[in-house]
Amino acid sequence: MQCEDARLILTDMIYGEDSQEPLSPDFKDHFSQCSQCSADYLDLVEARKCLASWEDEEAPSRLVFIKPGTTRLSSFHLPVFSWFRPALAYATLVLILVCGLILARVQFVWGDGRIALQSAWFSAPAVVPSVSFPSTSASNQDIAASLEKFMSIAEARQNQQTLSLLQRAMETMEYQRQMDLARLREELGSLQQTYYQTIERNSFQLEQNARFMRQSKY
Amino acid sequence: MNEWTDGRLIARYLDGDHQAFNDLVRKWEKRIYNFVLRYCGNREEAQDLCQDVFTSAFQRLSSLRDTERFSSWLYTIALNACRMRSRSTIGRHMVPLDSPEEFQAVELQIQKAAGQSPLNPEQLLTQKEMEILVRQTIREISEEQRVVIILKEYQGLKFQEIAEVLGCPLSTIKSRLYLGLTAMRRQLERHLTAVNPRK
Repeated sequence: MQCEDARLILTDMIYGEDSQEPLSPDFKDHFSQCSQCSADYLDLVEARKCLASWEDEEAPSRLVFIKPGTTRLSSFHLPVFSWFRPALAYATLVLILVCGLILARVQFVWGDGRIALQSAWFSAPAVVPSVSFPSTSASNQDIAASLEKFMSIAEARQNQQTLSLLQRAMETMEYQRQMDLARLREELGSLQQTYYQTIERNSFQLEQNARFMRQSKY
Repeated sequence: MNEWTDGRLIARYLDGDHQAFNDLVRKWEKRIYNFVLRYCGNREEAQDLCQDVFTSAFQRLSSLRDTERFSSWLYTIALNACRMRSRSTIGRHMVPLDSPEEFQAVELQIQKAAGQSPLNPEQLLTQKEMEILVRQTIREISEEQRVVIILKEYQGLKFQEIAEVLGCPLSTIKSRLYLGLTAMRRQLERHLTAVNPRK
C-alpha cells in the first residue's frame, strides 16, 4: 500500500466514518512500518485538538425575516418606516387622479354661483341630429332660428360654456343687423337727395323748354 | 418550537406559509454565519454575507428539487457568496479576526467567561490564544483545503455531503483534508515556537 492510499483510510479513521469496516491488513502493515504516516496521524489528531479551540459564535439576531402575508424579505439592514408605505400609496393615488383629469381635459367652470367640473370630452355636443348647419345662402332668420335651437339644447344639457358662446353669437348677429340698417338708411337718404336734385334739375329744364317754345311760336 | 425537518419546512413554505422560511433561517443561521465567518475572517462581512445567502436562498428555494439535500444546497450558496465576495474585496482593507481590536474583544470575552467557564483563567487564556492562532493559521492554508476543513471540522458534514457541495470526488476531499490538517499542524507549531521558543 502506498502512502496516498493510506491517507484516505487514515482520514476516515480519524473522523469515524466507515468505522464498521475492519482495517485491512495491508493498511495495518503499512502504518506499522511507515514512520511518515504515523507522524502524520499524530499531526492530524493534534491539529484537530487545536481546531476545537475555535468555538462557534452566536449569529446576529434576526438575519432575515418575512412578514406574514407578503413575499418580500425584510432585512435588518434596511430601516422600514411605518409611514413610508401609506405615504407612497397616497402619492401614487393622487398622481393617477391628476393624470386622469389631465387626460380627460377637465376644466373648473364657475357658473350659477358654484364651481363645476367640466370635461371637454363628455359635455361637448358631438352630434346634433335635429339641427342642420345653415348654408351660406341662408337668411338671417334661418341662422337665428338655428342658434336658438342650439341654445335650447345647451340649456337642456346645462352646458353654460356653449350657452354663453351662442348668446354672444346672437348678440353679434343683432349688432350686425343694426349696423346694416344704419347703412341702408344712409344710402336711402343719399338716393333721396339725388332724386330731389334730379327732379329739380328736370323741372328747370322743362321750364326752359316751355319758354323757348312760347318764344318761337309767337 | 418543534424541531421540523428541512423538507417539511420547505414544503410548508412552498404551500404559502412564509413563517416556515423564518423557522428555516433560525434553524440554519448560526451554522451558516459561523461557516462564513471562518471563511472570510471578518464579522461585519460575515453578517452581510449571511444576509445575502438567505436572501438568495429565499429567491431560489422554489427551484430546489430534492429538499432532502437542502443543507448541501445552502452551503453551496454560502460558499459561492464567499468566493464572489473574496474576489471583489481583493485589495480592500478589512479588519481581520486577529487584529488589535479583535484581541481586545477576546480579552473582554475572557473576562466575561471567567465566571461561567469550568476552566481556570489561565486555561481559558491558553484556549483563547490558541483560538487566535488557529484563526490566523487557517487563513494561511490554501482556499480549497480551508473550505474542506471548515465544512468537516466545524460544520460536521459527511465526506459525501462535502463532495456534493464542492462537486469533487470523495478521494479529492479526503486528500485536501489530510493535506490541510497537516499543513495547519506545521504552521501552528511554527507560530507556537515563535511565540514561546522554550516549548
